[in-house]
Order: sequence, then C-alpha cells, then structure tokens
Amino acid sequence: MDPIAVGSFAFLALFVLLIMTVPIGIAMGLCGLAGMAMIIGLMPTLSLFGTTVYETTVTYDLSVIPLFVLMGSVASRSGLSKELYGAFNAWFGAFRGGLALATIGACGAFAAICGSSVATAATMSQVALPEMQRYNYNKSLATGSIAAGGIIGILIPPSLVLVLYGILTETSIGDLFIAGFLPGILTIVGFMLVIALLTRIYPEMGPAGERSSALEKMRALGRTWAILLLFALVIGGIYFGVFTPTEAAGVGAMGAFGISALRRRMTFANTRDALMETVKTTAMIFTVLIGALTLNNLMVFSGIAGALSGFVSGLDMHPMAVMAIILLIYLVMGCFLDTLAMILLTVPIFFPIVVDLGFDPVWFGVIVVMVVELGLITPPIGMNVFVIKGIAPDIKLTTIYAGVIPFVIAQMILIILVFLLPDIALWLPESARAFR
Amino acid sequence: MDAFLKLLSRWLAGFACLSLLFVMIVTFIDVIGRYFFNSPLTFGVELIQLAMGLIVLFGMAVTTLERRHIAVDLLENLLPTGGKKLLACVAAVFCFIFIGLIAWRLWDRGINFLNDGLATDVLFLPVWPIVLLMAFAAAVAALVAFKHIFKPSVEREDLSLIVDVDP
Repeated sequence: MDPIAVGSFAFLALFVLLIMTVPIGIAMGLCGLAGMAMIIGLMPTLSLFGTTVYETTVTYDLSVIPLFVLMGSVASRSGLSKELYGAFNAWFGAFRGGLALATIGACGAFAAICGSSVATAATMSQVALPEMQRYNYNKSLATGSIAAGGIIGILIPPSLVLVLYGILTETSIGDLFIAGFLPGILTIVGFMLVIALLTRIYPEMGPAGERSSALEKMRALGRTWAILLLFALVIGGIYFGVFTPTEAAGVGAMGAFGISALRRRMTFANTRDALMETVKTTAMIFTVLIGALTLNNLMVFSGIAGALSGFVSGLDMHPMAVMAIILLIYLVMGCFLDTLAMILLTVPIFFPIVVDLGFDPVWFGVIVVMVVELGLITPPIGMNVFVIKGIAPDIKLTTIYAGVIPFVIAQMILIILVFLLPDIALWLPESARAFR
Repeated sequence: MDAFLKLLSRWLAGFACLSLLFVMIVTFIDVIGRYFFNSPLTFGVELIQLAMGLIVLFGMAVTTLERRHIAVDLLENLLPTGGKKLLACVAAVFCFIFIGLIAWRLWDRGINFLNDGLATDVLFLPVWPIVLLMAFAAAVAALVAFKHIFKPSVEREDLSLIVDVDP
C-alpha cells in the first residue's frame, strides 16, 4: 500500500477514535503504530516504539514538565492569590471597575508562577468572585473578567503549553518563554482597557471601591515580594542565560515550596496534594506526548508531512494567507478541543508547513498559543467558564459567556497585532541573545 | 482484586511523588553547586533521568484509574448513560492495548539492558532494575484499563479544584 494512503487512513482512524472518546494520547499512539506497522513492518515498529517510550520518559530535559507543574501546584495552595488580589486592589480599587481590574492584574501575576490557565481561573475565582459580589458587581463583568484573566496564564512564563510546543518542534523553550512575556503584558493591558471602557459607559456595572492611602499601597505591594522575587529569579535566570529552563523549573519549584513554608502553608496534606496532582498531570501529559511522537514518526515515514507542505506551497498562495487560514482552523478547533491536546495533535501537522513558508518558529508558537487560549473561554466548551460555573453554580453559563465577549474581541485585536507585527513577540528573545 | 489494584495504584503514585521530590531536590542542589560553588553534581543528570522514568510510569496507574487521560468528550456528553458506558468500554480496550504495549516494550528493553549490562555514565548504576520497575508499573496501569473494559466507569474525575483560601 502506498505510504501516503496508509498515513491518510491512519488519520481517518484517529478521527474516529477521538470521536469515540478514546483518550487523545492513546488514539494518536495506536494509529501511529498501526500505520508504521503497515509501512516498515511489525517488529521494527515495536522496536522503534520501545525507543520512543524509553527516550521520552527516561530523559533529563523533560523534567522541566513535572517541575513547572509542581511549582504552580504548590504556589496555588500557598494562599498567595489572596495577597496578590489585595495588592492589586489597593492600587486599582478606587477606580470604577477596580475589583475587576485587580482581578486581571492578580491573574497575570499569579500566572507568573503558575503555568496553567485553568488553575489560575479556579484559584482566582475563589478570591475575586465573593469580593465582586459583595460590591454588587454586574455578574457578567465579574465572572467574565476572571475567565478572561485565566487565559493570560498561558502566555506569561512559565507556560506549560509553550514547553510542550518547544519539545515537539525542537524550538528553544527559553526563547518561547521570553517571547510570550510581552504579548502577555499586552493582554493584561488590553483586558484592563476593556474593563475601563465598559465601566465608563455603564458605571453601574462596577462601582468604585474604597481609596487606599499611599502607605497601604506600598504595604500591600510589599507583601507580594516573594512572588516578584521568584518570578525574577526564574524568568530573569532564563533571560540572562544563567539557567536552562529545566534548572529554572527546579529552582522555581523549590522556591514555591519555600514561599509555602514561609507562609506556614506547607502542611502534610497540602504537600501531598500538590505532589499527587503533579504526578497525575505528568503521567497524563507524557501519555499524550508519547502518542504524539509516535504519530509524528508516521507523519515523517509516510511522507504525509512532506506531501502536505508540498501541497500548500503548490497552491501558490501568499504565506500570510496560508497562516491566516491555519489560525482560523485553530480558532474553530479551539471551541471544541482542549488546549494541550490541540497543540500536541496539530502542531506536528502545521509546523513543517509554517517553517517551509519561512515563518519564525518562536513567533508561530506564541501566536498559536494566543489563538488556542481563546478556546478556553468561547462556547460551547470553555474550560475556564466551566470552572467558574463550578465554583458559583447559581450564576448562569450564558451570563458568564456574555461577560467574556468583550475580552474575546480584545484578544482578537491583540492576535491581529502580533500577527502583523511579529516583533512584539520576537524583540525580547532577540535582545536576550546578547547575554548568552 | 479491584481493591487491590486501587491500593497498588495509589502506592505506585506515592513512590512517584517521592521520585518527584527527589528530582526537584537534585536539580536544585545541582544548580546551587554549579553557580555558587562551581561544583555541579556530576551524577545529577543520570539520577534525574532514572527518576523521571519512575515518575511517569508510576503515575500511570492512578491516572488511568481516575480516567485523567484527556479525551474529546463531545459525543459522550450527548449520550445517555448506556451509550456512555459503551464508549467507556471501547476506550478501555484501546487504553489496555496501548499501555500494555508500553509495558511489554519496556520489559523487553529492561531484559536487554540486563543482558548487556547497561550502566549509567558516572555512578555505573545498572539501568535494568529501573526499567523493569517501569514495565511493572505500566503493567499495573494496563490491568486497571483491563478492569475498566468490564466495569466501565462513566464518572470522570472532576478537575480537582484547588482551595487556596484560609482553612
């Protein structure tokens, strides 16, 4: 059978398995194996699979995954969210929509130590939602700003999704982290502008809170020193080339434990839960990773990867038009698929095409992440929205989705900006090269 | 049998947790040693490598048990309980095959390492015991999936919500 035909069948089978709710990593892995067995024979396939499994698991560099997950997992159990929220509230509380502004700010800061978007939304909603309800905030604005704040987490380093993109495409994780920083900050600013604009037009949506004195502001800021220090250490270390991302992750996890201990939150139960959570997440991620790498082998061996990029370049379309189509596909898929799964499933397909067209791999990583994170807050399946609904069951899903709309528009504008001006993402990693 | 598998999965996950702590501490000591005392742990990398294998495979059984593997659950949400059970059963068959293959390939590798005496670069630790342990843990995970074929659970472990407010 023609290898390309085998590859196409494998993808068809993959699609069927996925619809039948076979776990994504397992579906990818089995389709990859079946396809490979038809091309190179059963025994060579099994032997290659053994190598893939062994070298994916028994490896030094990939310890970056559990270590960053652990850092976020410990940090989100250390009571930091309350303090971060307090600090931003002291600075922004007196403005109209101040509590919502503080939510966005605190989400951004929390994301600096936690690589997971959903965890950020889950943690912050427990702190910010009661507060906003107390001040009679419009329910849509309150929940919308938390859901939107959560997605900042994917861009602000450390970011788990960018780590996986880096592993899959052999792009420097350090570069990706640094590249995500500026777009992340722009997202924060953009979301704050949305809130400022909304509360200017409809002042009753978010009444202003109490004014804090300069002293209170400084004190509140001072209480967050540990987070600032840890972020500076981890990301500064990567930027200046002092740490590799793996080392930074180890230092970061240790630092998170340190902060937790300082705050007397490192109880046995907390530590056990954080470790257990990390172990489960790690096993889940590595299953998908092994599956993706196995399928990747088939992509290469069957010649599908080459055929696809050949097809696209044969279309004689403007590269930007191709890129726009790819991003549109991501946008639609994001509405249905999990972020992590989507990256692992599609990047091996699109990446060769994108690189062939001459786009920068780091830039593509950042912009893809910006697009897929939209899927976390758009219907019908918006993970962040579900998490908030889980914490506040009395608020209707439609109310939350309505609150999210202005932020989705802001994020779209930002994506177009980064699309047209790649330097927004590429300038920082470019400048970091001077130090290495 | 069910209870035993459950217990075994939890135990394995417990060891994975210890392994994770170990990786963190070794990485930290390595970094501190390198940048502050100019003496990195020469054997840090190989210890972390072996421990990584343990984290991933020892966590596999519990992850499978609690159905933490991500799946596209669009269709599942549309079906009645009977349909959900059928899908869960089908999914479990594929999980069993894939994780079983992982266990088999690792076992094969472990035996090979035993025969050719592969050892780590610095400490000359034999690699095979770790790989065989990984294979064993994968086999336990495969058994868990096997059990799910006959007793499909439609419950998906909810995203454990982190409680970060004062107790």
